[in-house]
Amino acid sequence: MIVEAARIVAVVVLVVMAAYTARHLLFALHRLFSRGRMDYTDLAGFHLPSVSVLIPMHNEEAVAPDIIEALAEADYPHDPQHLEVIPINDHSTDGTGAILDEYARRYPWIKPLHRKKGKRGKAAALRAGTEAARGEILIAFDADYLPGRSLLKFLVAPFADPEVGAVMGRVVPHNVGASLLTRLLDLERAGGYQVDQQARYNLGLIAQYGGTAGGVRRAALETAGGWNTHSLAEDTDLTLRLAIRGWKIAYVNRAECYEEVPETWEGRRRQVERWAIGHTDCLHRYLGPLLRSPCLTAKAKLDGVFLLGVYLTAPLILLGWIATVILFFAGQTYLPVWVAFFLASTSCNAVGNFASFFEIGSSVLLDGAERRIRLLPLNVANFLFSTTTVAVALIKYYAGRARGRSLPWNKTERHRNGNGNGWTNGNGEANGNGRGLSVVKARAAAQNSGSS
Amino acid sequence: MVFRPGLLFQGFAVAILVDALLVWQGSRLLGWHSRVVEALLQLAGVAWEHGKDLAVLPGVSVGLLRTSYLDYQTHPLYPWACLAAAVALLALGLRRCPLPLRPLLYLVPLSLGITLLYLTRVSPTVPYNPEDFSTIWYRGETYLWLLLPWIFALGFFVLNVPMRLKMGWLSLLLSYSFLWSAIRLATALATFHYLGSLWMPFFYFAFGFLADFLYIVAFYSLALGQAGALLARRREEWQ
Amino acid sequence: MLGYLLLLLLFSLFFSVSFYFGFREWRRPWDAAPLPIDVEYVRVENYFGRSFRAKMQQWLAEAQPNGIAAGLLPSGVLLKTSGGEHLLTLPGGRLERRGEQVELIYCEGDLTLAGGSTFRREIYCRGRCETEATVQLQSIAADGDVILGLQNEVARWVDAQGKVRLRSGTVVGSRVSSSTSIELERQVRAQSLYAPVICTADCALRDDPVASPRGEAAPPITNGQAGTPPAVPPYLAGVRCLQLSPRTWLVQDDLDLPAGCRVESNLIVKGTLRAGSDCHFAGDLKASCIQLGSRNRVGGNLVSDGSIEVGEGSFIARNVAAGTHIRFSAGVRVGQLSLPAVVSAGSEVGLEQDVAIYGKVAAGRWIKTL
Repeated sequence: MIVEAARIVAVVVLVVMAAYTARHLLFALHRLFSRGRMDYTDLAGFHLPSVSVLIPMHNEEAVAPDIIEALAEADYPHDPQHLEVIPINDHSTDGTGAILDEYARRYPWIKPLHRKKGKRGKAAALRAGTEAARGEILIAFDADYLPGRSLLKFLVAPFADPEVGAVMGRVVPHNVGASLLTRLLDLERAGGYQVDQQARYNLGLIAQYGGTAGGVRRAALETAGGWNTHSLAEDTDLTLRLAIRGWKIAYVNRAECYEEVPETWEGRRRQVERWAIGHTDCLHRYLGPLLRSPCLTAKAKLDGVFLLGVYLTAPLILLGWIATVILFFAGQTYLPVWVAFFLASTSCNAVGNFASFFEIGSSVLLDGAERRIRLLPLNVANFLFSTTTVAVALIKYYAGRARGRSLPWNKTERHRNGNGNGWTNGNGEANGNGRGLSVVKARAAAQNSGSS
Repeated sequence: MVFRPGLLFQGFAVAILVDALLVWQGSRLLGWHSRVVEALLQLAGVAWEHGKDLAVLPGVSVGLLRTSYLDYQTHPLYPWACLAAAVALLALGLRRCPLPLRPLLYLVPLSLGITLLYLTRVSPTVPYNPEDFSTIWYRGETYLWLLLPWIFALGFFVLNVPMRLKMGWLSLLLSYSFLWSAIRLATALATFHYLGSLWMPFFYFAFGFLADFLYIVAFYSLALGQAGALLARRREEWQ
Repeated sequence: MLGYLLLLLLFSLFFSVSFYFGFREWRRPWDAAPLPIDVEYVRVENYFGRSFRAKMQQWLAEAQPNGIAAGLLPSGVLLKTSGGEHLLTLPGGRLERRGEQVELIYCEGDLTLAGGSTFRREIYCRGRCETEATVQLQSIAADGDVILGLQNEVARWVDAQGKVRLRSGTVVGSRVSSSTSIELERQVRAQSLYAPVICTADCALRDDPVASPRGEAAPPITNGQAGTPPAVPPYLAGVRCLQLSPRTWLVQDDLDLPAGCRVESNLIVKGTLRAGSDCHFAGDLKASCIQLGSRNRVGGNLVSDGSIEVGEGSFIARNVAAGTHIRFSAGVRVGQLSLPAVVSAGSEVGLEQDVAIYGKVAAGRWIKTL
């Protein structure tokens, strides 16, 4: 009976992983060969709704000046009818509040919100910011982001389409050279945005709103019930609620923004844990409504199921391993040979199936960054790490669910220092290479002079 | 344009041709594979004899090699010594090992421990003798070789680069795969001979398709890097 | 046993091949810089013209004389830059070229290019530039007006501070931009246009009424509480629809609106929207395919994943974006002088006569005047 159960599990794992492989392959091929869907970039600068930029901040004195300065230089009209920036000082214990107040004195369109009471966390901060905001479009940034001058225009352009409820731009790691992890995450992000997100948008599936470097239509947010303060993945949560209600999420590859990715594996572990739990929580909340939604096509629903279930593949893979071990010792590799082949290959899926690497490879070529592709084999470490982290996280999640407990929201650590002139390396030591807004601008100037 | 749909069909056509060639010459290729394994076993000082013929595909067969493995009945301490060494390695390496690689570090003692549990509780021998292991091996690897051209058709042939580059990398990949398969099989059989069947599951899982996957990704990345450099040289200037 | 160890060594060597190049890239990075994002980038609609003018000034400042352009009327001075560019400077006049002109041209005054000439490099004219018939150009920038004659071909772009006029049969491969206006005769093709006013043949510009104020007022915070179900607008009676927001309705089928219909909210139609004549849409409008009758008025944006056809005499206050093609019948107006708009199509934009667009027109393939 155990052997029979193992055989069933192995076949289920095989079918599920094959389905995900096919999905990734389809995305990559569609991205490479098909025309892009309308991305509204021609409308950038011509569609200028009123915008409120929300920036949740908890102890962000290290990075706050950079994003504020970047927004000051944005070429979006800074008059009250068009732009307000609301940094939300969420229970900070450092100098974040003082920095924001100083900027508010300098720029009338900066309206800091100081929260000392109430629920903590990004979603709660966004909710408070939304209540104070007056703009038609709400754009959220994490405090460590560095928006370019034209980013706001590119992000709001798709809202000319009344069906668009949210827009997501592309995030690009800024601290790539800090460690092996950051370099691997750079590859992962490239595959995820340049290929995966773009393909999902082109195919009319559910592109994901990422909660940062993206915007949401205020009217859409209201009808969807606002920010969910009980979710660890408020971005996925909102994505599903918008999609279920008939709003579209537009992905704009051209709207690029630098972000900071975790530099240490421990930081990465916390980030993945949060995503896995938050995402899986969304699966439980929204799978039914997703399947019943009258506003989504069958293919969008199917892809939504894949999207919601993606983190469940990690424990599924581990189960597949266990099943394969049982079958091995039961002498069952004499099954019909093709099954035997794929059963063994489930061990490969722990380190990523080939389609994921194909996505990354394709994205690197599309970006013209072929030199970094040699790192690809080392990405197995990232996949392996993520799989085990997710599996452990989901065990904690389901154990917590059984006991009626929720997990705390862990802020991702920052590595930039306060004057925007240096990053720390993975050991916390300043590396002196300099990042931050000033360095980013200097690099952009060097690239421009090099190309002319 | 970097990617063209026509090139995808080119890749599929090449994959069909290469597969046809592999099937047509399959017996000969597997015969060479066997000879390489024999030579490596001889290097390792492992005695072998010809076993049964295995029909891998219709019309494609290979003569299996029969080797011995260490009998734990006469060497009862060997498996425990191996397990102890693996655990010691884990304990020593845990602190030094980077976080993402720690799951791999657990893999060795875990695999040996499970096998030892099987040997002590279920059966004194694993379900497969070395000849059976070779059977599993040849079946899996043959199917992989048939799959490799399709993987490259999707991942590499779609690029707008010269055909000689594509065929060159595909040939290199297949050659490496062939040789690496022979080395792994020989190493596995030699390990079973010297250290016993305790290592069989570990070899099957860690150095079977997992190792295949790793070098496929490595070759893909190298090929893509070279192709990307070529494509970059063709990119237009602003004028 | 030694042999076995040698075999293990060989095994390790082959195994390490999978990681060697990745490891080397990690320890000695070839490329560890962030993907380049130009944070200073600001879209400039006449980027080509501006950057070329700047480049030309640079060349003029450092170029050295390289002889007289003998046999050429008007006679000019040949210059050569340190980068090897050849520059022909002219005082102005009519330039005729029997063969191909391969030098860059800089003209101080007004310039006329004789018919049948071919110019393979860019031209910068400080005055007005006019071409006769069947001239072939690479690109042209002018501080005055640009008038391209019949059947001209411009491989790349045209930029003028004055007005630009493209006569029948002219084709521009890329962008046409002007700080004043662009006038297009029939059978003209270009890929994109940018000017305060873009108009086709027989265009009678008139004072268009200011569009009604748009933009949704920020709705009160309701915390998602349910209120009284909204009334379905009369034009949606009997149609499968749902309300996305207080001012946005979504129709899940095709929708046919009778003549004179008034739509106050934003409207999204999952099928084809056909509107009769004299319809009025106060907000944004989207459908898979849009066919507006004559004299329709749209106060917001007009968006389609497919095609858009706008009937005679219609007015669109804001932007028009289609996934495939757009066709404007005679008399259509888009945008306003005080509030420019964009017309953007994934494939083609077709413009009949007497069409005026205030702002920009862009097409994935061609903009054509019919």
